[in-house]
Amino acid sequence: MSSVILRNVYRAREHLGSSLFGVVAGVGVFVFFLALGAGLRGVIQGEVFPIERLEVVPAKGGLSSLGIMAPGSGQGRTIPEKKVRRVRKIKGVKEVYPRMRFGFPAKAWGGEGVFGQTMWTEVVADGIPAMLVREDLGEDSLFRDWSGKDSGKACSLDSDCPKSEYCGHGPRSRVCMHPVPFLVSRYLIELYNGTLVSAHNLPNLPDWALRKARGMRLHMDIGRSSLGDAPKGRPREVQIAFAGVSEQAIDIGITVPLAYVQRWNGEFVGPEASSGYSSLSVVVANKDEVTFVAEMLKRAGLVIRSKGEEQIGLMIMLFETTFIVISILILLISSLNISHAFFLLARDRRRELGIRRAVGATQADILGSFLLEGAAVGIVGGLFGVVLAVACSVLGNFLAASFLPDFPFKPDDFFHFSPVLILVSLVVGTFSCLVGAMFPAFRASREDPTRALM
Amino acid sequence: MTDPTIQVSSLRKSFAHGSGRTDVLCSLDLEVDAGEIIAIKGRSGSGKTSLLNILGGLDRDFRGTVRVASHDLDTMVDRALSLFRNEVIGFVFQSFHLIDSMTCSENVALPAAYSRRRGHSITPRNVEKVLERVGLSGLGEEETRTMSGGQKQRAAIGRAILLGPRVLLCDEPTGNLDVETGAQILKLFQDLNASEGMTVVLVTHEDRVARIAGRVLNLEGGVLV
Repeated sequence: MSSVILRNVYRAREHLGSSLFGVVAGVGVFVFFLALGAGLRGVIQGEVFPIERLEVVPAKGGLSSLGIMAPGSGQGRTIPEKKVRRVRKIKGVKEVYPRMRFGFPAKAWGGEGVFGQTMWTEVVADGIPAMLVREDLGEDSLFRDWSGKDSGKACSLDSDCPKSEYCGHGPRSRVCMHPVPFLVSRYLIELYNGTLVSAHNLPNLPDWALRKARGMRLHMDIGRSSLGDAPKGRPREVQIAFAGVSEQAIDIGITVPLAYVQRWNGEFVGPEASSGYSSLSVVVANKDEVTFVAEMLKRAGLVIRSKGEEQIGLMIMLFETTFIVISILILLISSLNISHAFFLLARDRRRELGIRRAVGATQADILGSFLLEGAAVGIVGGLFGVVLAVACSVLGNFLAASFLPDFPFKPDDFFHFSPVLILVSLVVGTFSCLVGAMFPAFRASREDPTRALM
Repeated sequence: MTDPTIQVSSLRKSFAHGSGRTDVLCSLDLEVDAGEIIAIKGRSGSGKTSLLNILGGLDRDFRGTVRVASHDLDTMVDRALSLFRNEVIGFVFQSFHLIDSMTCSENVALPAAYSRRRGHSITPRNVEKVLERVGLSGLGEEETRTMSGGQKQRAAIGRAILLGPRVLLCDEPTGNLDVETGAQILKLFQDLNASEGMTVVLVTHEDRVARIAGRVLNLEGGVLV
């Protein structure tokens, strides 16, 4: 039976050729843009804005939520430890990583080895648990709380200390201690390379330069900045060491291990500032539970901070919808074309259909044979469409790799062809052909055999 | 006493044309016994082919009662009529009605594609036997469009007898053949009738065809005389 159907399709190749082309084009466009949408969505949701990770802030944030800190202003509204424990108990929450901002003024300088000149800057900073970046940076990362591991040796110069330490200000005298590790964000690097480099004639910082810069030390005054001093505590100079680039780092500023921020906030602001967090990074165990967890967080008086992922998600959805509509229009046109082709086929095969009816074919047999031919065109067209889409995606990836400039999270593969997508595409292609073949097939099956045999 | 294979009573058939209708069969009665060969003669347009189409279950637009091989055709639905055509009836047409895109053996095997008989599969060997029976041995792979008229009609007869029908309905079976080939085809009908016991209804306007029939009926004015 299948060979008869395929042979009939082959016989009708002239009629069905243009229809097949329409199916190939329709399915090709359908698969190509859905795979592109799925690929982009995967990058956005998997890497840029991991959907299973929610950033939450207190319900009403002030200026501090923007990272702007007046001297002595403390932290504004914060999330207390008690609420963090409550969040940890929400069903579906896998991990909670608190984030704490500097509640005191600070400024930093240095970087001659990298920038070719001494750079000065007011410091916007926060602290995160070292565990949060363990996966990104590896087990041997510098990014950890070194305070318990300092040699504590009395010193007057850095050269009096082991190579990994410097001569810092202890509570009573100068002692050897490890520099405070810090991270910067990919966003900050892109901002630096994209604007500051050309504006101030500074060196570019590609990935290899960033790797080479690991361990680079800068000086930072804590409790003191150009805008003024903290109301309490002992302002002093510490050394900080570059530990790497992480997506967990604050967008503009530096991020240090949480323990340092807790101690310094306690010293320069007060005990309550060392236990209130500016935001939480909530990791959800399963993507399906994100909605439930988000709702529970809102009930806990927390706000989920949007970094634009909703808008980007909406843009991708609009992009996908537009091309789905275009591909459906193409399939609709090809469906009409199939319909026309099958009317011509039924006319050409009128006598043959009469013969088949005379030897015992039922109306359902005739209807079925036409529909099977339609399905065969749909499957063949669908397969060619999928192959065309995959070929175009390979070309698209090649062109993107060759001509698109590097940008954060630029993927090697912009497309994601899932088995479900391919199956759905074949079904859609086949369905459009079946719809097109349906009416002519019905008409042919109702043909009076005595007239057909005249 | 067995029932006749074909029993037709008060059969009426008319065709619409323009504003009116033309009656072609008017209260026609017919009985044909099993294993009989009958010839139905008549002028062109007398309704011979219409009668054959009704007897073969191809035409359902009639009034009266038609019973063929214990099947009441006037009450049967399309699916049952299709099964009836497949199992009970073998058609042989004047213009052969073979499918040109198929080989000779594929044409002969065509009814098997629509057979609903359980445990009754048609093998290539069965088809080969039928081809031998109709004198086309070794021509199974021939394209039908390259075959002669006589070979085509033999292939059409092979197709008609593949599933062992009880009734063979032949519409001007020698109309497109020369005298010699026509005689061979008629001899084949006689052989099939003798060996298989098939009831044969021949519609013709040729006397030589009518001569092989046990009974000759003339269709005049919509009735058989």
